[in-house]
Amino acid sequence: MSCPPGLQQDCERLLDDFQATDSIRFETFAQLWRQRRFHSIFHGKIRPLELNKFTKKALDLARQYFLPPYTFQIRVGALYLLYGLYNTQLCQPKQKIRISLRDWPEVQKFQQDLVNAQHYDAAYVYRKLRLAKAFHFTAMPKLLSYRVKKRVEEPELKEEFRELSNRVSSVITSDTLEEFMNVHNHYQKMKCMISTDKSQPDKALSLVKNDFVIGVKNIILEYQQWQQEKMNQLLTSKENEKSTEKPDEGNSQESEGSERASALAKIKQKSYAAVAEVSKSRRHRQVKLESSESGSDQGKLAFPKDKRNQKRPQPTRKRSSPASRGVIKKETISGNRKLSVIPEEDSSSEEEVPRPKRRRRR
Amino acid sequence: MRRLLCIDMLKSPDGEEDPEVIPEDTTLETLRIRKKALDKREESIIIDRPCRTETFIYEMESQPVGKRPNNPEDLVEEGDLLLTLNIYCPVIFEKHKENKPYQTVLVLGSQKLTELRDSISCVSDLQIGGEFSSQPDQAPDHISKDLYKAAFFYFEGVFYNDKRHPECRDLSRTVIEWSKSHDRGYGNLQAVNMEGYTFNDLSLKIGFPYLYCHQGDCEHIVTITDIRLIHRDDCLDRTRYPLLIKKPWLYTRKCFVCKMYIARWVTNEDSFAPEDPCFFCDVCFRMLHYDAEGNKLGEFLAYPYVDPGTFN
Repeated sequence: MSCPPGLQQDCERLLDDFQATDSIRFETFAQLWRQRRFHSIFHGKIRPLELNKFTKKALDLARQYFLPPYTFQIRVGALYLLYGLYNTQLCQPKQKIRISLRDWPEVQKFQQDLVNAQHYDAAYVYRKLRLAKAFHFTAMPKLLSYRVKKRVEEPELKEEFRELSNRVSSVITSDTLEEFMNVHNHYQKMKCMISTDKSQPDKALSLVKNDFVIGVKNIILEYQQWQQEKMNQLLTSKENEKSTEKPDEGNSQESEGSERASALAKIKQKSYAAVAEVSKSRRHRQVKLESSESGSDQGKLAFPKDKRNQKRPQPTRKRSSPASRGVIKKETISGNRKLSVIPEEDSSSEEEVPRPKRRRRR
Repeated sequence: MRRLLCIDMLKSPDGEEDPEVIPEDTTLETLRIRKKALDKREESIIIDRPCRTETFIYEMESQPVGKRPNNPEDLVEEGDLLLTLNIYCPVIFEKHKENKPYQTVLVLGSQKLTELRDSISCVSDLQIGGEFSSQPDQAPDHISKDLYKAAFFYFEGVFYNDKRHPECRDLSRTVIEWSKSHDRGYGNLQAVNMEGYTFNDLSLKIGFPYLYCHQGDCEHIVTITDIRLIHRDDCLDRTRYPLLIKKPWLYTRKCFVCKMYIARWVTNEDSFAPEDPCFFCDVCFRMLHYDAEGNKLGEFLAYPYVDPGTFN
């Protein structure tokens, strides 16, 4: 089912503005809604069959924002949007919101979070929707239809609304941190009990850093901050890209240029990386690998000239290349997939090529 | 929270607004695009009303909504499931490559497979076999539906055969024997009776093509597009299910002579007809091929014809 033109932009603009207000109150949302007179999205002499389809698609679009992985504020905004669309639709009887079975636990968890955080207006809105029986409980979220598609179009929802997937914090959640604290305290108490001085553990028993839990927490916070900063950096660079269209050096030109340069550099490196190992007598004449990478804006580590360190920088290069790959992906969304594949192939082939050469010599 | 109740009012427009008209100063992209399309239509179309097929589709979809049964025993229970099935037409024509015509049927989870089988309408059920040029009046007696009553469904490796009537044969037996004879990689296929199973007993994949076969070789692909719980706004009258909500609209062949009535006879090797085969409606057929006493004139072969568009 193709999205009706303009619908996605309108919804995204509304949610964008809602996110910019930084509040989760329904009054803010209602004001934004009234400003645009969003209810008139159903106006304009639509015949009843078309109206049914259009309403279904609109509700479907809003529902996608309502489920994870979007940020909390966006989800609350999507809930209000669903409420608004459901109540202002002109179909008789009203089109329902389809939620699939596997999404229900998340919706219920979301509602529980709302109540716990005392966002009573959002919880009330949800309750009203439930009471009005606005939900269809389905097996699959999208209603299937069968046509041979010439081009499979995937509507791409906005990346910026997504919650930053934080693997680190999903491993070390606040629960586990609490447990750490508890276990640590318990451990300290045990040490105190078995040592001679009841108030302090013996010096011989101090094997663990006392404040390691706090250290772990600080590290996680730092990581989150860094991630946030990077996202903001990306957003600002994206905006700059959009704003500068002239041929004078905007960020986009620079990044494109540096992309291409880095890709070329990688290809060159691939061919030059096969360093022949000379015999032991000629070690002093060993050809060293020099780096000729252009400075792309993600701060790649410069290749140290020592051959001994060749192994070490490579893993770090791998780490930074996904980051740069991420940059490449974000700035030029389609059509540059080929470029982004090269770094990975490169680093793996680089490692393989010197090794067989070494084996052959020996 | 009382205060929030009037939030509902905040969303409504301040004044009376006509939902037909798009306001001039709109900021919404959707409306701008829609307005352009509407203006174009105003310029080019003289009478603006929905076409017949659209009204037809809409009416079919919406007519069962909200209906309640007369007899309270026929009320659908609360936790029942509603399945939406698409049943495709059997023959592959060149023009059906992109969009194959299908019927959409709503079925309750607690209904038996036999009820679905009875509700599927296929034109091959109405075919009358045999050449009737000499006895045109005896034609309508043997509909295929009465003669060949066997049918089966194939879901997930199990054949559900219709064994209600004694003359029903087991059509699935050939397939099962074939798959058992060599190791064809299909696993064990089983055959059971259709009337002992409801949809709740089956385990189904959504979107996966299954088969309905009747008349020995008329095969329809059946897919399930949606499963959901029954809702207050649905039709709650059990006797109406399985409910047809979408029928394909097929063009009918008209009589060659009058071009008005739908064809009921088809002739081959007919010296009276300009082409082979040629279609006639009942009246024109008798007028052309038989004299006033009902004697056959000339040599021809005539077969009764049922047009696929009879279900329109």
